[in-house]
Amino acid sequence: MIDVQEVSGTIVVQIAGTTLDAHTSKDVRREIGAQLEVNKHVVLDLSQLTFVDSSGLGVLLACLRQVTASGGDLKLCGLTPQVRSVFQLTRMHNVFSIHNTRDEAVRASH
Amino acid sequence: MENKHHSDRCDDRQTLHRLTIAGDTSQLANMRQWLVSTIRCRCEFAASERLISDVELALQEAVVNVMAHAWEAGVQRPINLALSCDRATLRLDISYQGIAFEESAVPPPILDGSSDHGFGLFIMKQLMDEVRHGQHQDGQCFIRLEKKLNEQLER
Repeated sequence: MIDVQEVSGTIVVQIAGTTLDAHTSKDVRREIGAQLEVNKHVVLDLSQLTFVDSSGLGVLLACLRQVTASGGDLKLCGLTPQVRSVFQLTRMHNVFSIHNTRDEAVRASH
Repeated sequence: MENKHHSDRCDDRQTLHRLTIAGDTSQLANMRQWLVSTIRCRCEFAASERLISDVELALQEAVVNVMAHAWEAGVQRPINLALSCDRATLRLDISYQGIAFEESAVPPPILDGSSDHGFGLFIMKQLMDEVRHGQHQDGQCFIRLEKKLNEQLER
């Protein structure tokens, strides 16, 4: 459900499906959570996601809290219009570090 | 359980479309596909991408709330959906057997990132003009979601 790459020393996790919702969130959370246990500085690439609901949002927030608690940081990139709209609706654009592209997010991680 | 759907024309202006889904999250994608295709085909005058996206997310949140809160652990029941639209309003009626949702018992969401749940009802209310939960005398619970179309048509 995720693809993991190292880009210029930063771990980039791409959510591979198009949907992060109540049906997929537990599996995605488990897989990303495992990455966050061993990497402190992570970029989450959401560019393939075309639908996120509140359960999906909860996964991203749980990941953010996990990283922050370990002294790391989590950056998001590639938000599609639906995902960006949900973030704005719930004010989460004020909570996350959001970048337009993967390159921007990786550069900001350094 | 297979999804069942059918349509019947109520009058010259309003068409009713129904879908019954099993009460588990594997049905959500099919439900959203039904909603989007039905609005595009049958309520084409209202079918802006923004409206479709808003209604799709509101329905998702409502049905997920039912799946999460309406039944005891391990219980799944059918959820009935009905979509109707005329030039003024798009309406979704969700009905199910189970525990009625108590809106007043839901605290407002925390939007500062410190909590990762409690957004569903907030999202529904942000996206729709009316969100109403209740229970009929026969015990059937319902959720009504309405979106006024006048603003959409003027865009």
